[in-house]
Amino acid sequence: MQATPNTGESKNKSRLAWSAIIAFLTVLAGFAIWHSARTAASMSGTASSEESQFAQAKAGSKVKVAMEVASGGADETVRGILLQKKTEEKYARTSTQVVAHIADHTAFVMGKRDDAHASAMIYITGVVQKDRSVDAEQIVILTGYIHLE
Amino acid sequence: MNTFFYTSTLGWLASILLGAGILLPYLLRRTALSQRLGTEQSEKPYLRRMWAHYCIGYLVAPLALLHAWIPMQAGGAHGANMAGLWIATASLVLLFLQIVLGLGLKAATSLDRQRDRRIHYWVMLGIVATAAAHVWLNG
Repeated sequence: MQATPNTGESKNKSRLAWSAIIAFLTVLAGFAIWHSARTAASMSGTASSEESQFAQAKAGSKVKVAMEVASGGADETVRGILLQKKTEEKYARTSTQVVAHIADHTAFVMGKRDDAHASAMIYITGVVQKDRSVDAEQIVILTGYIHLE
Repeated sequence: MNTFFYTSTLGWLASILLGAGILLPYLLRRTALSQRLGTEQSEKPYLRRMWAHYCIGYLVAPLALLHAWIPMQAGGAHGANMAGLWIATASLVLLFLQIVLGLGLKAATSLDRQRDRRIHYWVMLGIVATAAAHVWLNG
């Protein structure tokens, strides 16, 4: 292989290539920060539902609930109890039971379907059905990130 | 959810820097890629051209350590995939080993430089494989 001649043209080419590489890495880093911030925001945003709000939610309305999974069966149904938000990372158990249905359209954030197992803590965004169950649109796996009082 | 934000951001930044650090020797040495892009700076000695590779190497390890430290301090490791965390620990150990190997190569004092470069290369592959497995299992 021949050495690259150290001409003005090759220096310009080199400068352009390095600028493009640095710009690409900067954009990539920016995207990573934005993606992390967006996911973190979705995690705290979904904690808005109160126990009373969930109890009064009408069929067809959208709810966002935090729950501790008691059982996640193979029938695509997750059962557990509603968690009440105390602080950003602390939650308390309530007496309200929650049943959520997982479908093909359910999106999983920060985890996979298998992570919604017994004792897992999850946020569910979904639509209340006539039988008071929730048709899950999005499930955020929060095990390890939130703590019970 | 600051814990998640800092953990996630540091992890992705470490991954991006790791990729950049791996790419740099191929861009600074005379390779088909560097000649095509014109990134080879042949007027300076090779080891001096590699300063950015060294800086990135020193930066990735503490970033990865912080990425592990923040959730552990917050108790966030509970409930996470344990296999993924053990693989991440192995990745961290390999990162520090890579720094030691890199320091030897940088000092150019090695008796068998070819062998050390080969080990440096294989450790790099080990870091990439373990980091990818960690992202897959815990990401």
